[in-house]
Amino acid sequence: MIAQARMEGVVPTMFSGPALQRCNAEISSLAVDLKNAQLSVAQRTALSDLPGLLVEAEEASSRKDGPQTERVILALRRTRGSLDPAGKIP
Amino acid sequence: MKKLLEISLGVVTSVGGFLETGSIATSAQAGAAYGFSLIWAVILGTGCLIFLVEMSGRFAIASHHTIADGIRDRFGSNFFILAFVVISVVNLMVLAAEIGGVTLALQFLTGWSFQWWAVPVAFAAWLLLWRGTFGTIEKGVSSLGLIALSFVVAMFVMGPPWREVARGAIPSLPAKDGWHYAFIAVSILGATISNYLFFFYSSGAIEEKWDKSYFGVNKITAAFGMAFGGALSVAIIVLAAVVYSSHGIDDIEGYEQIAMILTPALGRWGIYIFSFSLLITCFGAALELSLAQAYITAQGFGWNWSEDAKPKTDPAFTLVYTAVIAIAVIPITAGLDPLKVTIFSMAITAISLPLGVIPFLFLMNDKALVGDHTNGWIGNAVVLFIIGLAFALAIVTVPLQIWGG
Repeated sequence: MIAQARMEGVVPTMFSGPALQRCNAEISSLAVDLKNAQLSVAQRTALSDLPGLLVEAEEASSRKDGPQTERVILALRRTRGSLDPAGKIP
Repeated sequence: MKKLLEISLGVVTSVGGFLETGSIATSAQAGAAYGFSLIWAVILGTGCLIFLVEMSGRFAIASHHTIADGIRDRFGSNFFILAFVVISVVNLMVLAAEIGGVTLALQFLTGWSFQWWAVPVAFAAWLLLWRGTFGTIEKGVSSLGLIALSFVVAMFVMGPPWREVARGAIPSLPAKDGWHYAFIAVSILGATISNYLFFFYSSGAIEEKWDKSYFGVNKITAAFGMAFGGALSVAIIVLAAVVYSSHGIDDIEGYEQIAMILTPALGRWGIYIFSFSLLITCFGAALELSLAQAYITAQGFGWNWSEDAKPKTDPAFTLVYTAVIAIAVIPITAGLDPLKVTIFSMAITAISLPLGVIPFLFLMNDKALVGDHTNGWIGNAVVLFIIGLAFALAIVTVPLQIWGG
């Protein structure tokens, strides 16, 4: 939501930057917690891709690079799909 | 004419002062997770608050005492000390949450982490209390809080399904996750009915020298001020339900998500208006909480107290608000997530409610204190209902915190 808002230029970088950084930190800590959980190969790959994608989202949105931000958001949605094939995560 | 002006100012102050970090966070959580279905909790809490605030003012006008004075005189020192300790701990937690709200607003506006803002915000609050008067704090800061009316504007811009919104005013069982639903409902009630408001309001009536001609002003201020304030919380629930569901969000993980609530309706102004609303309302609440704690302490122990007096004439009163601000800033400086502090403090507010509410039943029926201005049967029935509700909340809060928080 925040990366998309940044891409659309409705929130400033000084808001979206720290917000996405915090999101990245939380995802990384969750990924560490999930290391020992029973996950499929696809889920493990998606989990390891997440922090990188979030950094990319933050960079692309702060550069106001619309097409790149859109690509990263799509990749983030795909990653969510891989992590949650049953669609339990909203 | 003077009275009309006072009523308008009182209503404006109450509207601006109603919203704070707790009501914003709990309303946003409620809307994101359960759509419009928790609107009834805000309506119930606001209804209870209107009665209790009116009684606080009536008690002060009729007896020339504050609620803290009344508790100490009527129930004795032992009960007063128990209530004082519990309410003080809760006040400290809520004050920390309010300071956290101001620092987050500044983080959103500047990009600098909230932790860096904690000490400057605490110092600014202390300085305003040290240098300011009751009028500056109550009317000045709270009136600025009227910017929070932008939540209502945004709600109309978003055009929610009004029939469903109206349905939310009737209590209903959730389709999923009953524990979490109940926890959010308790947090909303905790954020709405806070003990500190009664102590602050009755002290304010004495500070502003309300005499017997102010019974009407008190009634109108309590009813309209709190009702309009409640409308702001309802607007946040409605906005959260509309905005977050369209993004597939049903759980608020951080205040950054809440900060986006005005953006769909108000565009690029949304984030600034939200941040300014959060800043002003939380700053106002932090000042009121610090003062309320100083009032309760000074009144309970028989010290000099008045925000309008110079600090050298009431040094102990000054020392109390200085100390509570210094203590409350610690968790935020240490980097504790302000949203978590907020949700936790709203829930423990619910635990402390009986201690603040039970005295009303006795104080408002004591002819020696309030003369002919005792409660009627409706007032007493409402107080009994609130006491029952307060006990229920106090009992269920801990299990709900464990299973639903």
